[in-house]
Amino acid sequence: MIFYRPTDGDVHNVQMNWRPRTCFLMLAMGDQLPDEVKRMKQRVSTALTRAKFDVVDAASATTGKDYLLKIWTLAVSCPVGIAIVHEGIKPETMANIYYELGWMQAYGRETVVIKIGDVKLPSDFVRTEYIALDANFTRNLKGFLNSLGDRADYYERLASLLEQNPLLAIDYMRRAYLLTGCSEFKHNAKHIFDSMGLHDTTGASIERLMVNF
Amino acid sequence: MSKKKDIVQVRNPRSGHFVKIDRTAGKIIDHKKSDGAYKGVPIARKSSKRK
Repeated sequence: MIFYRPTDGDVHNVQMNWRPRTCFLMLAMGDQLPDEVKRMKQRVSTALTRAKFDVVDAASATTGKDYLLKIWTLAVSCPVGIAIVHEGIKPETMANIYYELGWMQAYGRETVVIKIGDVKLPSDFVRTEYIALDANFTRNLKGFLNSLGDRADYYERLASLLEQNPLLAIDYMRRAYLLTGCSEFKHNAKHIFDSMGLHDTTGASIERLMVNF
Repeated sequence: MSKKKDIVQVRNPRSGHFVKIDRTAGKIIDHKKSDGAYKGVPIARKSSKRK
């Protein structure tokens, strides 16, 4: 996959700092958060930790680069994204959350929206998975987290079936790796790369950037 | 003589529907809209155990 930066539209031709088994939490930041959102963040973080996932959010990475680029690299590098939306969140913050959710879906990440209260999702998210804060919340969140292993299996299987299409196979292998953290998938991707006869490509080539994860 | 196609199917756990894959061409060629598997197309099983 070729990543174009949202800041200038140019290709991102440096190695991504991949974050296997990590969830990017998309929610409003700051001390003014509604209590329900604070409690939900804690609840989701606990469930993710139990499922052996690390958690990052917009406040997690500190770099000298601009804020948008920082958020974008976080979103791209994580296999899972969970958005927490609440009727009390400001419209411009909601728009940012949906923007980040859109990135993650476009890059083939696993996403789910957690709805607190009477919040209506935009129509473009009609097929996006969501979990409402109701009596079934814990079971539904656990169900989503449990489904990630099946998805990794599927990506691995597709990668092996699509070996005649090497870059696509490598991308599926990377998705399986990011969801599981299993180093076997890294080796499999390198094996596919080796069979492509691209050893003379530079370190910044798209092919090498794809296979180095 | 044309090359024999190697077509299999796998179930997408997210949609719950089967997708058909042409291994020779290295591409997904169809997504089933209804429940159940394609008739006459072998289902690709998992190839290896994860370590």
